[in-house]
Amino acid sequence: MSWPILTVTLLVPLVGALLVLALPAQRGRAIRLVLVGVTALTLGLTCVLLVAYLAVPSAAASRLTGSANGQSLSGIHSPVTFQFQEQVSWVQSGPSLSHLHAAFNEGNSAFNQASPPPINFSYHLGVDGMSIWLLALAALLFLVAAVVLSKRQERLRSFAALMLLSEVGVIGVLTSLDLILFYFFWEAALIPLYFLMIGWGDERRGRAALKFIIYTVAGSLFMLLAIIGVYFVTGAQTGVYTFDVPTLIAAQAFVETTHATSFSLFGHSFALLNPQDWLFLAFALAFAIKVPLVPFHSWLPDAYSSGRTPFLVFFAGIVSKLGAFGFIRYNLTLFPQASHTFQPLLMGLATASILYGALAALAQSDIKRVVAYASISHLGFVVLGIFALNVNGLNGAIIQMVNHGIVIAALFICVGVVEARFGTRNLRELGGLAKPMPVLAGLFLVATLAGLGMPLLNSFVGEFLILLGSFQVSPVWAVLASLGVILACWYMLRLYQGLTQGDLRLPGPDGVPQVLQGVAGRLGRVDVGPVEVAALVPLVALMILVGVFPAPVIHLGRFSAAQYVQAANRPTATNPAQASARGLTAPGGAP
Amino acid sequence: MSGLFPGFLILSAAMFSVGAAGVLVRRNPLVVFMCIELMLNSANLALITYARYTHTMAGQVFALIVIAVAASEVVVGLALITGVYRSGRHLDLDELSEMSE
Amino acid sequence: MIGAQVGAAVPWLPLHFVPASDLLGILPILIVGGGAVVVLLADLVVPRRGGPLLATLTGVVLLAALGTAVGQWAANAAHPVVFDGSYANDRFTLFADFVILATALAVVGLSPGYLRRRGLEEGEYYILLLASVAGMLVLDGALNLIVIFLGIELLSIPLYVLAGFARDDKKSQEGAMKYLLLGGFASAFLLYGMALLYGETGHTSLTAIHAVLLRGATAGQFDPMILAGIGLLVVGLAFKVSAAPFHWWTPDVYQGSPAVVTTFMSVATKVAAFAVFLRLFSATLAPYRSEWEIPVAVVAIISMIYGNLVAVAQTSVKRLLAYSGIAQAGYVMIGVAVGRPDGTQAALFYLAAYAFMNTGAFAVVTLLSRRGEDCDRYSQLAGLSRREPLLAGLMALFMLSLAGFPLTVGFFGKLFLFSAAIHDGQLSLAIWGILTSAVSLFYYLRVILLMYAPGEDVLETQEMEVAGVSPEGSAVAARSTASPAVLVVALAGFGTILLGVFPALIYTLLQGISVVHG
Repeated sequence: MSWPILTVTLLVPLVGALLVLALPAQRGRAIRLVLVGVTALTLGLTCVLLVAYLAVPSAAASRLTGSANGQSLSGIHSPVTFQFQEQVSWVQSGPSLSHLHAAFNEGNSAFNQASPPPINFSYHLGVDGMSIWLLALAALLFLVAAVVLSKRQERLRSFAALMLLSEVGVIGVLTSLDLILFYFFWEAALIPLYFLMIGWGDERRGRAALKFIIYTVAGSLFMLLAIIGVYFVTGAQTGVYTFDVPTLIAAQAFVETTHATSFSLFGHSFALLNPQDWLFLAFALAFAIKVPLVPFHSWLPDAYSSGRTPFLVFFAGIVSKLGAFGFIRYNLTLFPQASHTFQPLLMGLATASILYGALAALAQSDIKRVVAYASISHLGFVVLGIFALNVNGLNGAIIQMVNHGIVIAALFICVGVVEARFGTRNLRELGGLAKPMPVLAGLFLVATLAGLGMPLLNSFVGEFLILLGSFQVSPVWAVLASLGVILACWYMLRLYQGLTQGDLRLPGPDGVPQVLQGVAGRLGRVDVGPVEVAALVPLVALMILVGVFPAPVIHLGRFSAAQYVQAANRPTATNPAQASARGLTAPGGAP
Repeated sequence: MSGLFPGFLILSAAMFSVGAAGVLVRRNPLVVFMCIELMLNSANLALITYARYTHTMAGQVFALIVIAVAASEVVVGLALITGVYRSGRHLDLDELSEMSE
Repeated sequence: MIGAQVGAAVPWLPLHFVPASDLLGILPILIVGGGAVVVLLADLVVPRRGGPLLATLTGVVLLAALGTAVGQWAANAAHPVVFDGSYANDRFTLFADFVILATALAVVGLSPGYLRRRGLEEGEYYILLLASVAGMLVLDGALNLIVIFLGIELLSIPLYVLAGFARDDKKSQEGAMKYLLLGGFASAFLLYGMALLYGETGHTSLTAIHAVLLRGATAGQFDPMILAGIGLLVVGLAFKVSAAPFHWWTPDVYQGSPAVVTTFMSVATKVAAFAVFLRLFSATLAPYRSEWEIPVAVVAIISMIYGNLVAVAQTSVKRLLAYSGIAQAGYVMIGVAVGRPDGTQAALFYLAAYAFMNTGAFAVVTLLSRRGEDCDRYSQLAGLSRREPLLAGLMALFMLSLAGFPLTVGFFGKLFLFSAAIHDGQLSLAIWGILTSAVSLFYYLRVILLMYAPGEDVLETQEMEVAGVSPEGSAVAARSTASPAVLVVALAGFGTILLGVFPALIYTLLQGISVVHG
């Protein structure tokens, strides 16, 4: 690809946002048209990217771009290969001040230390076999969100512009290959999301937004600290001071994981954490909050239950995946040793999320909260698969990320329609909606079944691989996680049956549910309109398609999963000679 | 003279401490202002003592400049304090609390 | 060179008393000081209510000084130390000059409209402002204890008057008095510290002091009197930069002073005081670094914690910015505590960033002012996004920048500071910085929430109705009469984003600072 397709993909929504802002606020139709057009164009670009990626056989691709990856460190390459790379220097500091300063204060003890390393970071973009899928998912979900966005939405112009800005942030997170650039997009994406949360939604939105942003930023500030830490730790040990991700991944082969000193207490011996472990934990905290894993999840139900449907489509669909993406891209590759050290911890948290999310979903009567907790449970599966640290688990996690995005978006559209039509989210006040809303009920059924992992629908493929992978680690994880699958049947069917089956029940004027019999006709047109159908049908079609023909999807994710597993399973070396003696040049750099 | 050197320094330090204590405990702005002047003059004493001791002129020049600067500060300070007094308020720092804490 | 030409062309000028190169070295100060005299004379001639005219004149003076400084930077003089080693016109000084002069220009842009709205149109305002700027320019290049003291007093005394410029406002009077008393108190500490430093080394020149200290430190001897002197210097300077626990004056003075003065005070004073702080500690006192490192780090940590925690409880934007200013001073102190070139660079970068975002935030407060008072209570901000979308958007931008979000210059400011701290092994500074930044989100985002989300802080909105603030508010009227002020806010916003995307613009400049004299 000779033209900078990733930059263009990044710029299209940005230009779209400016375009939307340039339109007069009253032109709802035009704004919506531009929004759909821009998101469709972005989806088109990611499809081009996907086709181009698939057209190049992976091995050949890695050979083609190999020179760009292994730009350092005597022929050792990053085990993870990136395509479509673009790199422009962003901030580059020369040595002048430090050297001259030291020279001026000759003999001065305070200034005789080694000059500070230059701070360099670059605008470096690229995709691999994992992020390209998430990129496609993101573009799809933003298009779906644009479609379901009503042109009667209040302050439509601001909503549309903020949505496109969020898309820029999400695409930036997925494509950046420089830690500073990554952090830059990671945080910048929060700004439009914050404004979307405080501007639109139910009356508790302000508090929900504040909670979300404080949780997230508190986590990511520690990640910033760790990013700087990785820079200096890697630099001090290898002499390569860089924020460049491929180079850092390659350099980890030389980073010595110093043996932790241990101390004993009550007769047990405890190992103190070494720097790598701390850095791993700081990254993991940021991502665990974003996913969210269980002890850090309390922002999620509030945020999901107070938001508007179009917002939730991409917020639940893709933003939560960024945490899982971060685990794979950064935790596994930059801290291979620590990934193994903390494997039980993270698998434990993931299992706890699966079970807690499922049980909490059972206890909710607010339909949006049911979906919110279901989402926590499903994302637990993803993290479980990641930290199985084998090809099956990781492959499943990658597939499941995409699947979950599709399913959760569809579920939120369905419950959003119900909320919009009847003005309540209370499961006890609703029932029997299949009679007045047959189309919705049908589409909702597919989404529900996909959500509970029914074979022949998409989630089954991912969950199966994840269970397989975690079984390889220890049957205990697989058994516990299977409990989550069983519970999923329960809470998903409870939601579906409660809403659609039985007698028709609607909220009455005095808050007491009215039970209506044989009056479906009198409700008038309440079923999904063409807009919602247009949004739901592609999602449902994808669920069925992936469920029936899973082989290509599995195959495509497997290459990348294998690379990441390789990265995570690298033995750490004490010196380059030893590293090459162990044959660490595979696979990206293998000739 | 050189025998008195520590004596002058101790005197200056004592003046400084008395001044600082006065700023912290007295509530009348005028008195507080005088305490600040006392602190500045204790520094002057130290400067002159040191100038004598190190046989350099810089300290004396410094002290002269400090005296000139302190004079201009007094002008501004007294004007401000008079302003507050004329607006009909007691000259008590504890009562000057228009702004919320 | 220019001075020599002037001397040749105008032989009757008594330039032979002072070498022309020395005068050239302090040209920005001469321009600003001379400008103050010109404005003073002009004030006698121009008719009453000649505010805009004087403001224009002041602006021209500041622009000339800024232009000179830029020219000197480009010329990169070989021997920047002038007046027998008492003033350094090096790139460090010039960088601080840029920030100070630019801030002063912004304040002059904000002033005419604001002073008219509050009925404070007096020519003295601009004279005092210029005098204070001159003091700051003296301070940031001072290489001699006497010059440092002169600079500090020259910048402070006009500010005491400016703080009390709203003579009929009790808050303003009170703020001015507190500023005077505590400022004088701080000066006394500083002076006594200088006296000890001079006495033990026998020099007032920073370069000479450095040499003496270096000799002692290499021999492993740390003079206790010098340590006491350094302690007093830290106290005095911490007062001037309003770092906790020496910050008492800040909230009252910031809240009481007219908003334009607060803008000037909070940014320019801090930059000048930090310039001398950095010069003293990263160069002159560097041999004693092992001794002062911990106290300075402790002051930094206390400032970050105290400023951020107390800011959460505020209900006035001016007080909020005062406490946030204390916290920000703590962040810059990280750079001082690190001490090495990367710390100095990071601190200077942060100060430049701070100038943009804080000037911007205060400028918005300035624009919201009405006849007779400043509208800075939270209740008066509620729903601002509907009344004044542009101002609200910019205010949100400045809040995000102060909180350190990417896309804004505040992010890179923190990034460089924390990297410097981590590289120096001062992990605790970086961790406290991170923790307190997380706390700061709460109050910065609360301001945004207030402006953008109606229904939050319902109690406050009711209070607003009781207070009789009409929804149309003040700023509509303000904007029609204060277009330069809007320009200033917009420029600050533009700079905040521009530097947030291309930090190299300033970072490269800092690389050009070859030597920090002292």
